[in-house]
Amino acid sequence: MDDGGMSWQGVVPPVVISPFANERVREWPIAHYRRFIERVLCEHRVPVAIVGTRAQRVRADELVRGFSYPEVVNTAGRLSWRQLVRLIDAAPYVVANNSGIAHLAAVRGCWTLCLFSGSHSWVEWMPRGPRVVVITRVTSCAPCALGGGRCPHRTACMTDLAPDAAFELFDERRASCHRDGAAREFVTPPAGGASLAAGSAEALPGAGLPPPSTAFPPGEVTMSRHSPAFERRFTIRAAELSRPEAYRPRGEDAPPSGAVIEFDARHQQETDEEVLFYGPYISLDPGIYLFTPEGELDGKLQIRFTHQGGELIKELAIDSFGPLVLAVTRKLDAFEVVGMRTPELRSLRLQSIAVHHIDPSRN
Amino acid sequence: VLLDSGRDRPYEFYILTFFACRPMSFPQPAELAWADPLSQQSRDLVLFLLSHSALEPALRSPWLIEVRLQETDPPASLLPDTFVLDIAADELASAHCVFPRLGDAQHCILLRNVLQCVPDYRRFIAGAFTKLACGGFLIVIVPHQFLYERKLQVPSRHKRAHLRFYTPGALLAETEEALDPCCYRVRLLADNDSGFDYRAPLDTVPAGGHDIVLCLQKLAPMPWRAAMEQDESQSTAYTAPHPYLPPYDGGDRAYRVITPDAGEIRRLIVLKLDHRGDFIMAVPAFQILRRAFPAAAITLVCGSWNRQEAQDLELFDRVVAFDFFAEDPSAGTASSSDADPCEQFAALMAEEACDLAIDLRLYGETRGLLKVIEARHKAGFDPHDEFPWLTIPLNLPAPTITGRAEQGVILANKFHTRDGEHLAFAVIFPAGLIMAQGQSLIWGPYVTLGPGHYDFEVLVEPGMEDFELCYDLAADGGQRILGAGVIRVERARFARLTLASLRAIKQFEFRLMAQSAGAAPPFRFMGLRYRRQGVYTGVHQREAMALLAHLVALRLEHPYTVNRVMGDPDG
Repeated sequence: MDDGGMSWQGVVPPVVISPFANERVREWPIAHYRRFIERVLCEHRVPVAIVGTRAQRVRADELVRGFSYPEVVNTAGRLSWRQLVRLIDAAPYVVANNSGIAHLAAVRGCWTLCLFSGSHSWVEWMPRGPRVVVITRVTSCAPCALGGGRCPHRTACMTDLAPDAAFELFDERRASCHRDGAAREFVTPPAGGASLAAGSAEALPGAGLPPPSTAFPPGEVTMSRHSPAFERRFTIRAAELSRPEAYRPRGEDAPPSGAVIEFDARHQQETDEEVLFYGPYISLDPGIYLFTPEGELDGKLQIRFTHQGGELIKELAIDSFGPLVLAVTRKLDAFEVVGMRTPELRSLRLQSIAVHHIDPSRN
Repeated sequence: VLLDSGRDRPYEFYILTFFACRPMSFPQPAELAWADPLSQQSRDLVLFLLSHSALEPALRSPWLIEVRLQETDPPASLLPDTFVLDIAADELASAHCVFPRLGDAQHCILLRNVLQCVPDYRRFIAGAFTKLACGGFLIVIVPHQFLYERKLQVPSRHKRAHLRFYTPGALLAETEEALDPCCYRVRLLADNDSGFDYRAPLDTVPAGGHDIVLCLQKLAPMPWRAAMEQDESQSTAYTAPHPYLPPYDGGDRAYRVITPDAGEIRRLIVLKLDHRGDFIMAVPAFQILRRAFPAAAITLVCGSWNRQEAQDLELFDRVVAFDFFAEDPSAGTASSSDADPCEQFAALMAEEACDLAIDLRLYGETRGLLKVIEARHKAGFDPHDEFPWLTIPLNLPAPTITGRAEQGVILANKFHTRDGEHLAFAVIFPAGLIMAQGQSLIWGPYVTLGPGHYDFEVLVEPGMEDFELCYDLAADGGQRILGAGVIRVERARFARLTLASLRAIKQFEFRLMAQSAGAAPPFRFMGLRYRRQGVYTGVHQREAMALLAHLVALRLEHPYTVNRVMGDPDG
């Protein structure tokens, strides 16, 4: 998937936070969003993506400043509407004011927390959908239809809507809906979300923008009240892995989409480069990972799992392609799979690596 | 000036030589001589830096901090007299942690080709910046995406550790994310392509400069920065007494939490208690409800006279007769029972708990019956917010009521006069009064008229011969003129006026004025007769009930419940 120049691969889909609206009186204070994000990072242990328009980017900068990247990513002004829809489809939940993003998330069946100001009647304008929680302050001056005007009460309906209370009310309601069966089906992405699949990337809205290293994967995220564990499957394609210069045809930039990584000892004896492939520099959340290479292997291949530019996590030699288990106990950045030749390696044909992530601690 | 940190000469020499000249004069490129191991690319970069006068204050710093990767080859610092902070590959994830080792108030920190390898660029930039003194400089050098990488997306074709690619815009965007824009100014943002070989193939590292250089200067804290947080649209400063009541009444500081309702609609009770014609018009609504809730058990409660027709429809699982109204009110066949119908109905429905109850009668008499039914959702018409306990109210106006014609007379005693005399229900103007042109004779009554089309009849009679008077119609106590003209005061008939207003007319005023100066003829003013024309727009009863049924179906597609949760505004 591409998200405004970002190749989200291999990390948990982020919570989407849309802190803006067409009228300032409808917006929750930035300080409240900051506190809310702190709770998300601390207690839900999922990354956060801030969404907005290009004009809102400066204010989005205010919000993300001080938070780590890529725990909190500022996508304001960098996503097309279609990319935004995909991001929302994959998100564990969306937090927004009374704005278009709240309505979008609601109708797409995403868990949505709408922080609704007193400027409008919630009866008339709140987002509607199967997994929507709307929180308002009960104020006697609402609805005021203030629009772009000044609020004489320092927008009490929003400033007094405490972030800790909102976080806890949402969490509690979401959990109780799971228990009661309101979320009868909790599979994201819903219809259309399969477009997250690898190979569906569309042209980047700004090719010059730097693609951050971390990304969430193409694939399917499943969270169900019937199975408390968080599960996710995605694929690392050969095209996402890099090859040393010695093993790539001269002038080739990177393997084209759908390409395979091939090695044949009979034709490549002249090079002493041990590394056959490496990448894809993704972030991994804690959990159990099953890596299943797909292709053909003749002989012995050395596999190294590393992170942060080479720190070894696990190393093993394989002589056939089957599931490789990796237990990740803490979040890993710049995760890398390195394939290395051994004297016993005769040939290799690697098409992709299927990844199955299970996090039993999350529901 | 000899730039030499090579193997043959002591590094101190290099430092001393360059440092010696630095505070005195900025070296010109021609004055520089090079020695290994500073690479050609590094030399190009130094020349590039020295060629920008905007960087002169930064490079003149008595003390430079260069932050770079440990593996940087050759190991020489870019500039002499530099304290080097190396970041090892396994430190990159926490690269921002290197800065606490530095003392505060640094004059210049140079991030040399390291940012692209640091996962958390935001904290890394901020960490370096916080170590600067006010007026100090942060210089960031990163490889250019379209000079060094020459790729559209990661991974890098040259360095596996490069996590991101940079353009000047991308570098600035990361900086703006990391730093408060009020605390720095950009002194230089430039591409270094000096000597770059644009014809070099993609799989080579081209010779020449291939960097982006960004230089920021740290500013002293702005005294207005904190105030900037208080956006003007968020509050209003008052100099006069606060004109508004507080937003929380009676200390009730609560949250309203609207959450998905997990329950399904399995049992449904529909009330249609009025007469035969009303029942016939409700059939489309019945059909809509059946389609919307195909698996629900639907009980219809209707007058006994409609029971058979209801059963014949085959839309209901059960039909219950309850005669709230008389079958034929014109015959005076009202129920002889003195019992409260709501109590009777409550007894009838005692065992009839359901998920949804709907009253399809437009008028509110039967809404009390709905109230006694035990149901999670209750739906009905409520145009005037009379039944706040309805969970699905439809505030559809009833054209017969809201559009009804109105008529009446505003008697003369509601009007004011100065020259005339109030006598019973008239104002008498005797003969011989001398008036100025345009002098007001009658004014009032300052009442509110609803929106609509009005016909007025001015009840004024001449004492002798016919004559003419000026008039005007105004709103807001005379401040806004709606119409004006001349009426003829005749014995045979009253003058008629018309007025149309889409909005309510507050403090409606009608005035009669003298048309000309001189002696006015005698006349008698008895008031103003008015009629507001009826409005025939709106929806048919059949449509209204169908709309209510559709509303219920749509609302319960994603049902919700509303709860009040007490909470302190502060958290």
